[in-house]
Amino acid sequence: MTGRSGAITDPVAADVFDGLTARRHPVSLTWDTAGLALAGHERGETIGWDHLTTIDWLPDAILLGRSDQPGWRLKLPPETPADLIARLPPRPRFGRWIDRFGFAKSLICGAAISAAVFYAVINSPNWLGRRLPVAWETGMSDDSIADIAANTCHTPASDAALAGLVARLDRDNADGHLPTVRVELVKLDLVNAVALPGGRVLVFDGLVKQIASPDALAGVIGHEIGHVRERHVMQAMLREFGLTMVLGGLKSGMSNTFGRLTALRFSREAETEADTWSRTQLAQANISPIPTANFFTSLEEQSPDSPLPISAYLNSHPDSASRAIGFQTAYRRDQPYRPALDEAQFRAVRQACELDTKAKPWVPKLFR
Amino acid sequence: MLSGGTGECRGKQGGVPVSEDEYVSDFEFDGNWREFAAIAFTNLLLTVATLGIYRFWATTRTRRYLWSRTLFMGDRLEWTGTGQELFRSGLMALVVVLLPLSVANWAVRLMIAHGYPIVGQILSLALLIMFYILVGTAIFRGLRYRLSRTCWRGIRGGSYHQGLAYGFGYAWKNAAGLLPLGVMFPWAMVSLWNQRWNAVSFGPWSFVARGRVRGLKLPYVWCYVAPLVGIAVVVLMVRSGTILTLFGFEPKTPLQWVLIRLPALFAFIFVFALITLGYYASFFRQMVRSTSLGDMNFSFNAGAVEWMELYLVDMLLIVFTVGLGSLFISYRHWTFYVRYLQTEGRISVDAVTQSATPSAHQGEGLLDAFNMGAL
Repeated sequence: MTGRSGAITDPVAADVFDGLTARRHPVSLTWDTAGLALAGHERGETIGWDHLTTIDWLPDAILLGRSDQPGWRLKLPPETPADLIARLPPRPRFGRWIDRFGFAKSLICGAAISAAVFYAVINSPNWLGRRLPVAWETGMSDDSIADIAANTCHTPASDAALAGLVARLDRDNADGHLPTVRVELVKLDLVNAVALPGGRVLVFDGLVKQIASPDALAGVIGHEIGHVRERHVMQAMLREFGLTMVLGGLKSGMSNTFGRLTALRFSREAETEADTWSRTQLAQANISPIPTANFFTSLEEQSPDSPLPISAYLNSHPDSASRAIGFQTAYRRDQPYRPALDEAQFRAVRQACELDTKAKPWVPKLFR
Repeated sequence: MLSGGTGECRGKQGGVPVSEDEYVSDFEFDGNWREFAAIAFTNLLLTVATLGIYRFWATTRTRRYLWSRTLFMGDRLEWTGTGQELFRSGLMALVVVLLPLSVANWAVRLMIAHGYPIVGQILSLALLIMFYILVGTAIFRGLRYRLSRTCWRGIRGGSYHQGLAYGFGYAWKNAAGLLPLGVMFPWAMVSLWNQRWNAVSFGPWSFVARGRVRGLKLPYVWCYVAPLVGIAVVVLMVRSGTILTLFGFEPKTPLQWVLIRLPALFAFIFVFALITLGYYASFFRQMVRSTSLGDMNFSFNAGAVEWMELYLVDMLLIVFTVGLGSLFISYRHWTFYVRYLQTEGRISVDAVTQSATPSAHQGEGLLDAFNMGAL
């Protein structure tokens, strides 16, 4: 028998298991271009190279199989000549595709593709949220918080003042191509305001009481209208839904923390975007940004958000100090600023919850 | 002539075959954690890089290593499963079982929320029963799959059963075992062990499992008593003041109050775990001893302390490596079983014929799906 070099090769002693019983059959092996010839105890046959599979390289043997006979095994000894080893099919290591492509290449490509998929998935709520029709959102509005109607404060003067303020801030929608944003006051002593699905903004009475200037009220309402117009509410709903779907399956503490962190990062982005929207609209409505800046400064003094700037990242809102600076720098010395509301209008808004006797104090669901 | 098992086999490679019975020897493991680490870490890298999809192939590589480093009578076990079949069955389980189950679960919640509480409750009970049946089926199919992909000298295991009968058994025996305050639980465990192992085979032989509850009652009674014992330990430690003198001060803040009680809490968990593992060790020992294959008998010599050590080191390994140590859990557990499993009896290699069971086509996707805890 001649090897690749043309020299005669000595037979190699090996063991065969035929896949029928556990008996070991000692054989002697020779090989040529046609295949591997087995001679020995009752068995003489030549197996074509394309029928042989390498199963594993073991510490004390090379294990071969046959694609046409499951269970058939040939155990080559450690001293198998290199010439024979070179003819064997490559051993399986990481899995068929990765073995073919190479470990390092697969790793890099896999990481790149995964990063792209990950980026797409993470950003899809933002992308999608901006493109879904506004009408879809309107449908979700009244179910989610229908029961708050009894807690909103309305007087003809306050409603008119707020509607006027919205029209002045939301100038891009002067032609009414989008549903008008409804701003309502809620009888709750909380210094906050929220944007709801369907272009609804709730301003809590506690905030109105705390605010000293109508311009600051305009800044805060502008921020909330910014959330509505930038479709942050829809984005947040999509993200909530998506994260539950994607991360719910993994169910580990790490993924939960991760989900929370990404959600916060996005809400921080959204807050910054809403601030920018508010500043732009204040500027085009000729409302001074300084009172809004002062309002944030006063919040900062009351309760410094964090001792370290780093933990601002863990907070859903950017820290008040940097928000104040954002509004301060938006001030233009040469701009002819006008108050957002005149004194009578501002008073009407501030007193709405006292004058509207039908409005009941809101008790959030949690405490009911 | 009776050949002397392992040594003779190895020494006589290529020699004259023996046709008579050979004494069997224990399983041996000759791998090491350094080799395993190379596999585990590349698996981790690829799994991360593929957003988890590689984990099916990772499982396959891990098993191929562990099996191939385990010797029985001088020859290595072989894992013949593939990552592809695991992936396919995982996908199937997700589409065919988990998605419908979660949709049904969601429908039940809607029903209860929208004024059909009784129909909703009945449906949710039906879902729970179905869930148990599926988990049981998954456990059986997992065992069947692993046996059918385990090869020794070219011979594999398998089963003629599809696992549905075991699924039903799993559901009703667990219910019966748990309902009367859990007193029948050992019976359920033993009965399920027997049902499971009597339905699977290796080579020409079916496993024969004749496990009995006798001998498990006392360890199980201890499990009942364990919480009481644990509480007694805690009370003793707190009352005796050993902790106070140990720390040398009275607790002033709630944090201190909690801190000085931590040793007591750990002691409680330790005692409770030890007693529970004591029961489990007896259960496992008895079950393995009452299970045989052909003329081979098995025994398992790990007691509560060894099991405790296994889990305690697992825990420390994970904690002190910030989770990275969990890569080695499968290695530790496999070597644990190999170390304490003993085999005796004899086999004739000519009698070890190929398994005639149908080769299971699906992997352990169903089992895997439930382990993922996606429900």
